[in-house]
Amino acid sequence: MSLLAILQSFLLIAGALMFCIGSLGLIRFPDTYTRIHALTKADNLGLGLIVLALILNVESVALALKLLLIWGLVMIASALSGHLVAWEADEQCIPLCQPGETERHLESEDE
Amino acid sequence: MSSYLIFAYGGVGLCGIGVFGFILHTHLLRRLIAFNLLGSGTFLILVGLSQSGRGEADYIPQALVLTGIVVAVAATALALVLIRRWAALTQHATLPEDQGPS
Amino acid sequence: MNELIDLTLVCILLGLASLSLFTQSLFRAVMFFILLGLILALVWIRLDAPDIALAEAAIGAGITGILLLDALAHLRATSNTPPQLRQLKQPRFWLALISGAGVILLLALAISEPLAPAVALDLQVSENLTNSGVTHPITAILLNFRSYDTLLEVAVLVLAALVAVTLRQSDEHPVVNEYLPNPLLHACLKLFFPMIFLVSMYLLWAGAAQPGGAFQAGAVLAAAFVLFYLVGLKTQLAQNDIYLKGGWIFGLALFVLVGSMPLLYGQPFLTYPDSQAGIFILLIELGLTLSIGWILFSMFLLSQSSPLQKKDSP
Repeated sequence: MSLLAILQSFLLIAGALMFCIGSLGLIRFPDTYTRIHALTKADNLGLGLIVLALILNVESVALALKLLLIWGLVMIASALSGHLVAWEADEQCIPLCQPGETERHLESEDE
Repeated sequence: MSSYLIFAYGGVGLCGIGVFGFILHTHLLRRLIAFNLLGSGTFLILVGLSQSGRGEADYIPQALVLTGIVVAVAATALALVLIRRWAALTQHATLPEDQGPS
Repeated sequence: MNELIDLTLVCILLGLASLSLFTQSLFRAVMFFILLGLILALVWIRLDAPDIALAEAAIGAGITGILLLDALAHLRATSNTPPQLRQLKQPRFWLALISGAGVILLLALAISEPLAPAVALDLQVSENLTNSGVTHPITAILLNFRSYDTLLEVAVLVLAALVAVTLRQSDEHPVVNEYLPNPLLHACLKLFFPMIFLVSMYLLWAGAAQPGGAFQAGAVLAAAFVLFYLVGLKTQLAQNDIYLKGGWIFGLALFVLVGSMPLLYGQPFLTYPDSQAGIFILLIELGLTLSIGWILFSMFLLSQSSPLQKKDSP
């Protein structure tokens, strides 16, 4: 196994882990605002790591630039959608969840 | 079992779930979702089965499915327009024969 | 190892299908259905069908999702949606269960038999590909070998749009051009619009040699139109019936016109001269892309019977 393959697998696994952490945050965090925080940040980093791993494999510069462009566009799009969700939640007066309120909030969601 | 055949059997499962949901539900939006599942299952069977016989990509069913997806979205959009018109007229999202005393 | 991926995908597919049919909340049902569309796009990649994967991601997950969510908001406002109960004692449940199981059993029996195709259509495709004007087999099938299918498909789309416009409530107030008043959305979309159009035209152009083509390009274009509408730009055009209907029939008319040109030279309908076939196909595809995008967008627009509410700030 070459050094390149080891580096690539490391980057891919790290990226996949980032996605897992982001999804964990989506499930476990108590309110809308913290959930977007987990999703937009962790997933962008995860995608970035995966894109880096793929770039190590490509031959042409154009393809590498395309991959980087995808990463950039997804980052702008996820920042925008995160902002829109938070903005809409704020317009609808969805309250921030205070520390210690987690259990009650989760219970009310199950109803 | 080739991977094409696995997806053909997956399509069979989707068809079964679609038929089950289509008969069980009375809410028209849920029925529409069930109908779409049935369509997706059919597409999977069509492509998966024909490719499992050949062991490589078969372009003719793929082209047919591509046409089918576009027609399916047109049918879905039309059904949604009909459902909304119905709901606006009757204030119900179910058909009258399904609004029994049960 | 690859079979493991396929089996996992099938399990996710069937799980999402069940969830989208049997969750209590309709909103979750629609969300699971959109998710199912995205997973299906992955499945099409595994089935070596990148064309269908592109179409499924753009049309199945994108456009259908927008339409369903939009209808959901409307239905919630006007009709009471009773919670769906599992009625074990009702004959309907047993009827549904028996029918579903019967369909699975019959289909599984049917596909367990090996196929014995009588005609090798794929050989005919590969033999005639050099004369078709394009090098991508699917585009050749859709727009040259079986162009009747595509012509009638666009006719079906136009028909659906016509029925939708007929059903439009005449007494309703016209769609008010209100929009999401978010400055960041406007700024970002100004950046994105040129890129979305570029992607759409690239898909159209690339369809001659690679996966892509008029349907995928049209779906991307429709998404751009919907975004246009949401930020409140240039939707006056869609309020005018002449532009609205003219846009629908443009692609169909161009298709019929270009398809009839060989008739002047004594050739059958929809046969292109071998040397010019590439140009003919590109021309038809351009018309189709614009019309498909416009039709899908107007289906979204026509179902808007209540205007987009601008939220009152607290």
